[in-house]
Amino acid sequence: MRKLGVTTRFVIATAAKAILAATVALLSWELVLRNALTDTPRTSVHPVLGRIYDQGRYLHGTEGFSRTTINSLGLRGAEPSSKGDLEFRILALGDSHTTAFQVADGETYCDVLEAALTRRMRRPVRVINAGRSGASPAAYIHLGQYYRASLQPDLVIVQVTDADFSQDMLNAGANFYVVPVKDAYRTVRNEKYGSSNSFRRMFPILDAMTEFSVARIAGDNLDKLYKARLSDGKPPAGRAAAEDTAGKSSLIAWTMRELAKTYPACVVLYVPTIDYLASDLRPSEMERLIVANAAKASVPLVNMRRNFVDAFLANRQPLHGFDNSQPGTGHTNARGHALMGERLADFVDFRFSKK
Amino acid sequence: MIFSSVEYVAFFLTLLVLMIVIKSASTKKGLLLFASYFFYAYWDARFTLLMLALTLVNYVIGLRIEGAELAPEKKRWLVTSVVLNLAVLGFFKYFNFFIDSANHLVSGLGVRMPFLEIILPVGISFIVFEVMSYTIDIYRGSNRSAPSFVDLALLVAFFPHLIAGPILKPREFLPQLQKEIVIRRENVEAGAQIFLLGLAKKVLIADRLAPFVDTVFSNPGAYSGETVWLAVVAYAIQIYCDFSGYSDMAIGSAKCLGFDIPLNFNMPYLSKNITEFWRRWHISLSTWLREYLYIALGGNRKGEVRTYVNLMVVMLLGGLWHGASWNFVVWGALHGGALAIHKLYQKVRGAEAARSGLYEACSWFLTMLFVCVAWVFFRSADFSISWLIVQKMFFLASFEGIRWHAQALIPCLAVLIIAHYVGSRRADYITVRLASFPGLLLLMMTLSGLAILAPTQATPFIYFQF
Repeated sequence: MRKLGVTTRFVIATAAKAILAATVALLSWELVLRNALTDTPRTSVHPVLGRIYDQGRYLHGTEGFSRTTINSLGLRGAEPSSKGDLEFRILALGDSHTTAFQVADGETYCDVLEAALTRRMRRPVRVINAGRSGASPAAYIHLGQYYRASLQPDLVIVQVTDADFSQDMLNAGANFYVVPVKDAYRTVRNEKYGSSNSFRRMFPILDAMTEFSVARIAGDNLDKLYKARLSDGKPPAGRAAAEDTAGKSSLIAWTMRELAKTYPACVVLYVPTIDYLASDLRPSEMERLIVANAAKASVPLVNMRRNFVDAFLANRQPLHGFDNSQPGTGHTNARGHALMGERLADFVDFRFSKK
Repeated sequence: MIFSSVEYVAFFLTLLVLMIVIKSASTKKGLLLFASYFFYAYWDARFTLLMLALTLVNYVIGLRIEGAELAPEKKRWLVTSVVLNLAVLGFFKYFNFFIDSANHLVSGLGVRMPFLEIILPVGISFIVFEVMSYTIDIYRGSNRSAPSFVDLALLVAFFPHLIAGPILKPREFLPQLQKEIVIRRENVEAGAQIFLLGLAKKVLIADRLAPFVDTVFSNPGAYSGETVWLAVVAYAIQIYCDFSGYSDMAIGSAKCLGFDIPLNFNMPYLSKNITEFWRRWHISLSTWLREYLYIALGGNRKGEVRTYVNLMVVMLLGGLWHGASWNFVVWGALHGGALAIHKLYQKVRGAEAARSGLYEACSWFLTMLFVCVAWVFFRSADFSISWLIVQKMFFLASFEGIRWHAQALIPCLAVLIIAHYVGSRRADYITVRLASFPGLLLLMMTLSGLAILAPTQATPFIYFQF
């Protein structure tokens, strides 16, 4: 009995020490992550915008690095104020290339554009960064009325990439997507859009734990491992595999027409995919379709390919990628954003200075 | 199954529980052997028969050597063992390499010999060296034959060391098999910690550096000279953490089961000369090469020139052992040459000559510089790539290119320096009582660190290809 008592006391004491050790360990890692790697706000559902980031501070350090603020609309940057009398307001719509959590405040193309235009136009200029990671033109078209009414832009920039048309617009698992209807398409808001994490979808109660970076990252890693085991190399469910680009022409044409209708003053900013290590830096077939259909719909298009390629050839530094990921891959870096901001400034200056 | 996989953890825990539950000593031994063959079969079941055949043949030859009364007969059996073992290794590993090399030589004659589609059995280099050391030890009289076939089978197939070493010394491991396998708490405690250390090295350091190293080494011409330098240093860290991490996991697994297998790495990047490096790096292989090849060739007993020749031959073959590629031969030749030069230098300078702090620092720097440059040939699949990398490193080719200052390198280097500093103060692993608060905190920090920081894409162990 005494031996059992000693054993029980030992087990209880060890269990208590283990719980304390686990708590200290998790808190320590939480501190490290929040200051060095990642600190993402939680998400919630906006009645119009769908799932958005909660207002708060954001630290992103897994690809590039930035500390920034998320406003009440789930967008990066300060709260959009009511429009001033002389203010020239630009709304920048796009995906993670626009949100650009990989670059610091002041280095996104929105910030560069705002600073450049303020200098050139000599009037207040505000560029609202309405980028949302994973968004596609389906979202921008669906939310057009809301954006125009609430933000009153003088000009809308719609940033697109090849992936918008090859995958994202038709992805029924996204927050907003399109479905084919006769000869056209219709935008759809996904009412069931939630976390992409399999475990959080299975156990919604785990959502509460995502307040902690440790839980979120460990959960995401576990999710990736789980999906890798399930898929066994096949493409992830819910996203169409890359298809024949000819089939995408009607989608691109429809998108350009709808953008022109939804945003009478808009410009498409095309962010190219470039294989910097390839000897052939020519445009993709998708890019040709985007450029051609934008011209057909009379939508101005700013194509960054020439700028990015020339900059790369000049000093061999890719305009995508970071030291903590891989140069030449992933999102646009600060140099790329500077080029985009300046190129857009030239366009806006040319277009609107004549008026 | 690799040590860092969920399958291995499940396999190992199941085995551990069974070892605790089963009371019969012979059943435990049989179970361990079965588990080891299961482990190998999980990689490729076809080659379990090869391993069994090699074990059986060498067991019989061992008995014949021991039973032979006359020296010539002993020698005949030994030669049979060596020839058979090397023939197996040569066929599976080097057949296509020699055919390819021969084809290059005779290409002018319009002759082309055919390649065979040969699958390389996992761990064949280690298995062959293990059985060879068994028969050679019996021939030399430094060990007796295994008390039973099961014992030899376990020596060869013992799963912690099976795929990538450490190469066990039969005279050290066979006696451990005579004792009953008892699972003790202190062994599991120590073994688990050593295993976790190895896992952390592999997953948090080696796998983190792999994408950077792989990308730069696959296309070094696109990257700047400084990026290439960083990739070479990163590879030096990667291969050390990958291989020593694997060895730690092997040692830890064996320890949990109550077996002690030798240390395979002893802070090699603290070495101040190349001779010291080879006493600290892949210790089981360098020991094997010294005991069974260098000494067999005469060692340093046949004059100065022959000593240098022997060193070169041993390292050339040591390089070739790693893989059927001229890159490995070059790597071996570089190390052989360096060893010979160091030996000559020691003779000229005097081994006992006084050394200042500056001398030690310069020695260390030059040794590390040489080791890193030699790793370029070890890593590259293609000799032309190796040469391009070396040219870029030493400004013999354009230094221009994409600059990539991989940020993963900074924390990895810092951890390595701290670990080497702490490790240099100890001759063995630092372990703590797991039931104590420091032990539990260390365990929780490590496990949560692995869950958070482990890359989702694991890379295979580098030494599995050998």
